[in-house]
Amino acid sequence: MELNSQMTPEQAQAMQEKLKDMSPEELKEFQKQQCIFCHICEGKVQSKKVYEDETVVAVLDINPANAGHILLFPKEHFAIMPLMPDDLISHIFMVAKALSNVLLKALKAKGTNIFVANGVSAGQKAQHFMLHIIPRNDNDNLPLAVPKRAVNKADLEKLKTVLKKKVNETFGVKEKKKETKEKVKKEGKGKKKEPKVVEAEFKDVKKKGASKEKGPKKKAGKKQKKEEGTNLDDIASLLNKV
Amino acid sequence: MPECQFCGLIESRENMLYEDDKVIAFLDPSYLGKIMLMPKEHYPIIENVPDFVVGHLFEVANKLSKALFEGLNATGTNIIVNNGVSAGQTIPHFCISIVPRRENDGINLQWQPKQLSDDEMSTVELQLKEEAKNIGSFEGEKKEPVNMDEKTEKIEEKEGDEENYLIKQLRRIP
Repeated sequence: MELNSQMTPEQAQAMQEKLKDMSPEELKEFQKQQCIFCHICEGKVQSKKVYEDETVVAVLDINPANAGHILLFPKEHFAIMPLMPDDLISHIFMVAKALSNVLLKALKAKGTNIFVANGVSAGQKAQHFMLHIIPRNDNDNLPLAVPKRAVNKADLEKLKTVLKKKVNETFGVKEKKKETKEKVKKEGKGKKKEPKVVEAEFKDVKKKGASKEKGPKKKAGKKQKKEEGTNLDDIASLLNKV
Repeated sequence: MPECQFCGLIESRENMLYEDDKVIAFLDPSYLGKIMLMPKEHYPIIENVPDFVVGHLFEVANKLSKALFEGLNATGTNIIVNNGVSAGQTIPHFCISIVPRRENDGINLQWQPKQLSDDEMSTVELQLKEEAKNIGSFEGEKKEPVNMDEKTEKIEEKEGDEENYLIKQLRRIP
């Protein structure tokens, strides 16, 4: 069995059609049945497990970038990382740290990469969230560095403004300190905004995340484009231009 | 202690996007939309970062990745750690890169799979399994003052040359 294999176009299309008619519960169950990584967790598919606990499993990638390439994933089926709860993210990356250490010691690797791809355009191939832990050696020439590209200062400033707003919004609910700071600022400027608004926005964000679950193969970003302000389109086109 | 470029950045807060008591995130001026997230305290590689800080860092990384999806209409994100010079690390301060992705953006992070024989795979499996047996409880935040000291000492004793090699190599970078 190939861990990284993709569906044929025919299979993918048939699946898309099936998915349209399903309720969220049916959908999750269906995804589990289709998911080779769920099968690995249940022991239905053979694998070379190197670590397992109550919530996560680590196996050797059968198409490794280097010998010792580990795939670490949650037992519960999540398509992408934004759908995972915080405590599970925290746990899985603590395990990743420990496994990185295992690679350094057991294989005498000179370094490690921890690599996550969210979405097809980021190189995600399976429908089950996973992280790659890859042992590295000098001059093994793996393409795991993001290329540098000259950034215009004005573009950077523009992007910073937009992204900072979004970041504050994303963290607004949980980071109490930040929220109060923002409140003080807003009150100082004489603008009144109830915290409830922030909460509603956050819920909306969650919903958008959930819609991605239906198929990370679809371009999830397209739908959002219309909902976001014009500024974001500017920024998006900037990203394309570079 | 050599002067650390990231510690300097943390002081200057230039292009800062997010900060809390443990971690801080900046926009990387070398690629539009790329975020660098790091612990405020100076740790060279992930093995030096306390478990609970690692956990917190990646919770934050996930939220920043969400912000890239929502704020920049990215259709994907990569979260990458380069741990050690051989893995592409250039500054001796642990850092997570979060990169917005779109179709045909010209970034290629795809490796060519290596073909290993069954024997080779089984040998690696055994080696890793044996070492992974030592993975046990993770360091929580509350016991911080006591545990941190113990842990640091342990790491230095246990890792010996390998760990130091990684750090030494990083120090050699001009």
